[in-house]
Amino acid sequence: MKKILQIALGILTSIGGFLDVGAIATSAEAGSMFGFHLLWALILGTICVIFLVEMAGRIAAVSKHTLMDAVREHFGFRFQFILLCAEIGIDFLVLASEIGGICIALQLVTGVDFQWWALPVAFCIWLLIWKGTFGLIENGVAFLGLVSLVFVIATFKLHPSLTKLGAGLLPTLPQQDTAHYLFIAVSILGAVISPYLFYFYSSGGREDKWDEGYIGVNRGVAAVGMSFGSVVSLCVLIVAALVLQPKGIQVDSYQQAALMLTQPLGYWGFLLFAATLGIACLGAALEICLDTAYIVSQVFGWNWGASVRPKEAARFSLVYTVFVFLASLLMVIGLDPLKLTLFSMALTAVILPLEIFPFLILMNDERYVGKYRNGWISNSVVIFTIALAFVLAIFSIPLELIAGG
Amino acid sequence: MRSLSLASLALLLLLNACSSKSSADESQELETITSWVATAQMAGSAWSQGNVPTVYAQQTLSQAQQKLHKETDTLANSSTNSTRLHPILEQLRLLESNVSQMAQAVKQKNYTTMSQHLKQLSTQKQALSTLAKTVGGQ
Repeated sequence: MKKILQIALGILTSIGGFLDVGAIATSAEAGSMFGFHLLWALILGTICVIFLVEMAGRIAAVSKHTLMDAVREHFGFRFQFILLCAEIGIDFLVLASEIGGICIALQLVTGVDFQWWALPVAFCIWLLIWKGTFGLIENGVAFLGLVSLVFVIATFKLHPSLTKLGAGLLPTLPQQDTAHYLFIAVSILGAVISPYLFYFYSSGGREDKWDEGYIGVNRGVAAVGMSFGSVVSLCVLIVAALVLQPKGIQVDSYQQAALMLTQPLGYWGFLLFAATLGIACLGAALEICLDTAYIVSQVFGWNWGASVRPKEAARFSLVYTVFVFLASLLMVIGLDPLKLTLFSMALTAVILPLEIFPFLILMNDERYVGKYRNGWISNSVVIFTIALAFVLAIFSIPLELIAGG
Repeated sequence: MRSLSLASLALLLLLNACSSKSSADESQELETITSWVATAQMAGSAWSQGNVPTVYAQQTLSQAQQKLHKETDTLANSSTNSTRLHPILEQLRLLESNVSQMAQAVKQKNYTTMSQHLKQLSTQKQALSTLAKTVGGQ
């Protein structure tokens, strides 16, 4: 009974926690520009992330190591340090994007320019981590994130054609804007397969003291939770395709995306869009801050934990304090939050091989996962998706930059 | 061998992207313009129906007007044959002025004026689309 409750809680938090600024931005842009044609990228990314999240939980439960600890033990400090730098760089850009998402949500409802919100938002994020516990951060914000189910309701109200949805599941190249299409496909993969999720999840597994008895819970949460979570992203894409694309609106600003729920749901649609954007980004921002503090502390062997009092883990607390305020400065100087988001997501796809390679090695090493080693299916799915994302990224990012995107 | 083929493919894509840049740029500008005109139309109509707050409608219409202004300037400066685009640029200036008046109507909470401007915008949008097709066909 306890396990069933844990799975149910995990699934609920996954639905609320799956969506972040990257998922909203890439799905909205994909739907408004290319209709249902990029549904395949979301599905592919979701399948891959299910396998990876399950692996992150499995390694924490079986080996009693966080992912970073296992990497250090197996590959040595030098490799771990390279990985750390790559992860911090990406986390920094993604955190700035998430803060941007919260600021935009506040701008939508108050009219006060997003730049003015950046520092107060950073302070609130910091305060929540400083005062909160891991449970509050993981479950509290994720429960609030259930507001994102409004996109599922809107999808039902809009009655999408199942035949067209089915066609979108097959990868096809468009007649025009091929470079941008590939760039958005890469950004979707980068948004769905977020490396911070794995480090955060495995560290959370250690904070919750998972053991081999949690293998089933972990599998259930990863498979069902992530699938349900991705349904919300799919619905964002579908709503954008049904509402914005027919009118010729191509999302290149969050102001435009904010209109997508007003057609099916009126004024409440507008407010719920802002609420979804704000809460989803807040949840992700908390996770990224913690993730960065986790990995830095794990690399240098400092005391860490979201539920540990700040004075007992001073350096851990210092990392997220400095990190959140530095990231908010990117918004203070007025970088375009949507462009930063799309760029960060595409860049994530570039570093995925570096992030995932050690992961796969560890998941096939009996010393860490014993009899729970990866099967050939999970290895193949992950290798294929990561290779595809990387190849697409190295082609599409230069083309996008040349086109001035 | 495989990396050589990948590099050649990347080079071909880059060369292709560069050679067709100017015409692609023009059509990109027009797409952006159409998108912002549609945004202004949707935001204005959502405001009239009470589906978005006044402050949001005002900001979005101002942003649309700024984008239209910027894209019109870019189009005027980048074009090698400005006489060809002259009718489009004229239409764009009318659109920009209309969107600016819509923002004013929102500020004054004048729903009647907004409704008139929305009708005008719809006509201007159609005219722009026809002009873009005509010019694109030349």
